[in-house]
Amino acid sequence: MVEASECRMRLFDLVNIGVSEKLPLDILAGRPQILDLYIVGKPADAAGFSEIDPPTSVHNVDTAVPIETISSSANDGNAAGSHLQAISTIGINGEDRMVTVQNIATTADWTDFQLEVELWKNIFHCFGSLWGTGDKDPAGDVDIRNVADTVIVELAAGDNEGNGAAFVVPDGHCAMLFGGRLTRITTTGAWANDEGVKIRILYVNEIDALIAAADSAINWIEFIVAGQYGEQVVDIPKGRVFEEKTTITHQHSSAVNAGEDYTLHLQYLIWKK
Amino acid sequence: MNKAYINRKIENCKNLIESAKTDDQIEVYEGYLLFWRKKLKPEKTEKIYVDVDNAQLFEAEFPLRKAYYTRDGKQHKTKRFKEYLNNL
Repeated sequence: MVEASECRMRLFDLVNIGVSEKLPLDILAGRPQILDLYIVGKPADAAGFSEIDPPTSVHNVDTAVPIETISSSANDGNAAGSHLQAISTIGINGEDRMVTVQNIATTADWTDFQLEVELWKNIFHCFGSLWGTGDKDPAGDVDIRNVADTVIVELAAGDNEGNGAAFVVPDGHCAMLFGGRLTRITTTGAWANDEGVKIRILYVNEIDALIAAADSAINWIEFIVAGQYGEQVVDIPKGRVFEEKTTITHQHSSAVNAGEDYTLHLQYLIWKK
Repeated sequence: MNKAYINRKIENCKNLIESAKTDDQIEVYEGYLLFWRKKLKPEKTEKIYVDVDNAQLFEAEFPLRKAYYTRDGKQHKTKRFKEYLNNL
């Protein structure tokens, strides 16, 4: 089986969606947000870890810079009959705040790149967020890129969900693993007892990133759903806290040597210290 | 990548520099500006490689002749090599 993964990332302000449980007042005062990841994936047919739905290139800079948007099709744009009319971006802006910003096409033909206003230190993910009457998905490949034309994240033609499942905890903030669920959903192998799925949440603290990769610590939390004799569902516990500027990526692997389908729902609570 | 596209990129970089609020931003935008300005200039190194290739071809074809001679520490094309290049 061929390795595959697709991540839906969304950012919510908790005051807008409400919370079912009481948070400490000092967290509530820190404008808490939920970064919600819903991943559908299948590891490669080998017991080796690889990154889930990585961005096209990592945008992680100290000085916030603007981005550009561009489509490969003239059918995307701001005309009433266009296909995609806007692409939203999730990341960290120049004020060290995790935000979602909608980038709306300003011309009828989006093959001409447009420079956007918001400044970004990090970009994690993108998704389609406004459509004309032409079609409800992008006609061409729509890119989020930097001023030097390096593509960061992108929508493939016909796909409203972009790539990117990694993120960075903004400066001056904390993040807490706020629950989730890993579910093995394969329908092949008749629940074979020698297979399963492994998930790793990798976190690189700022102190680790300061030194050469070969010397830095590799930290991770691992979750496993096994085969026939194991639970098919693993509830992800709440509580693990990550400090500011920690980079968090997600990896998957076959437990043995045959990739199996899974879904992974993860929530991170983010608040200003 | 056409010239009009690069010129537009350069104009955008200049506008970013003018509207920058911090020295760090100016430094980054100047990096972008330099990146795009370099795209406008012809690739000098490519031309040198072409000359070197031609010199090798010339010396292979005429083993008794040299493509370059040195005077005052500088390399100059020989008359024969210049003629050879003109006839290419």
